[in-house]
Amino acid sequence: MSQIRNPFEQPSFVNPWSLRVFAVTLAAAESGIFSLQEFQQALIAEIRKHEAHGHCIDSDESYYTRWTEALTALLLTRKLFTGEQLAPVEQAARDAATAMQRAQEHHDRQHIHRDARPQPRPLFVEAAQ
Amino acid sequence: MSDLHHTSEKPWQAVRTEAVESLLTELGVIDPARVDAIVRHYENAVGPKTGARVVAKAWTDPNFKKRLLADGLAACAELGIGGPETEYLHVVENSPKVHNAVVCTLCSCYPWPILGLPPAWYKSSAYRSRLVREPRKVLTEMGLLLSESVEIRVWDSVSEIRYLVLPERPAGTEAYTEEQLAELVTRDAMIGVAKLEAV
Repeated sequence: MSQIRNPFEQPSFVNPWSLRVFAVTLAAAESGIFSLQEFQQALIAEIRKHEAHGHCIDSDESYYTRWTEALTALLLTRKLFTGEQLAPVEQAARDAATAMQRAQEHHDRQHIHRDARPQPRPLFVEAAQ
Repeated sequence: MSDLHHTSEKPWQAVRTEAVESLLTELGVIDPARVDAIVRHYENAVGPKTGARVVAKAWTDPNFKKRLLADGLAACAELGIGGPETEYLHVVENSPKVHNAVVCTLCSCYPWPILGLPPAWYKSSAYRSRLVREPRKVLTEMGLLLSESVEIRVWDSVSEIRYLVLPERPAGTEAYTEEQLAELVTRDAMIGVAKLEAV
C-alpha cells in the first residue's frame, strides 16, 4: 500500500478491451439508456464490493475489470438483456477468438516451415504458348 | 464464472465487452461506428495537452484566468474544449502558501475532456484511500516535497464536480510564449502531485 506511483505507472488502456468497454459505456450513455452519473454509482458499488473483500485496485486491468462488471450489472438491472441472452453471445465471441487463434497458429507453423527451408519461387509465371 | 474464462486466450473482459457491444447494437442502442469514433478520440485527440493549453492561457491572460476560476467549463468552452462528461469544473489555484491536489475517493472521477483519461495510480486503492488521510506523506512518496509551511488542500472529485489544479507558473518563464508555456505543463501538475519547472 505504500507505493503509489509504482509499480503501476503505465499508460492508460494497456488492454485493448479496457478502451473498448469505456467507449461502449460512453456510447450507451449518449443514447440515454442510463446517465453517466448512474453508471458512476454502479462503478462505485463494484469498487466498494471489491475493496470490501480485501482486494485492491492496483492496476488498470483491475480497475477496468470493475468497470466491465459495473456496466454488465447496470444493463442487466435495466433489463436490456438477461444473463441467458448474454451467455450464448459470449460463447460465440470465445469460439471466434479460438478459431482465429488456431488460424494464426497454423499460419505461424507454415512460416516456420518455410523459413527453415527457403524455396525460391517466381512471383508470377505466365505459361508458355 | 472463472471456469468459463479459460476456453480461449481472450480475456473474459474482452469477451464480455464484445458480447455487450453486440447485444446493444442489435437492440439499436449503440452504433459500433460511434464506439469506434470515441475510441479514436480518446486515443488521439484528448490528453493532458488540452489541459496544458488551458493553464498556459490562464498564466498569460488575467481576464481568462478570472473567468476560468469563476466557471471552469465555460472558460474551457471558449477554447473549444469540453464534453458532456462533467457538469461542473472547479479550477483550484496553487500559490506559494497553498497547494491543491485532486483525488476521487469513491472511484476515479476525473476531468476527461480536459486531461484525457486518468493514469493507473489515480484509480488505485492506495492513492484514493491515502491522499485524504496523509497527503503530505503521499505527495513526498510521489516525489513532491512541500515545505511544512504550505497548506495542502485535497479535493474529492465526484461525478457532478471535477477539479483541475492551476499550477504556479515556473520562475524564469517571463519571456515564454503561451505555446512554450503549454509545453511545460504536465498532467501530474494539473492533478496536483507535481510542481512545474522551466526547462
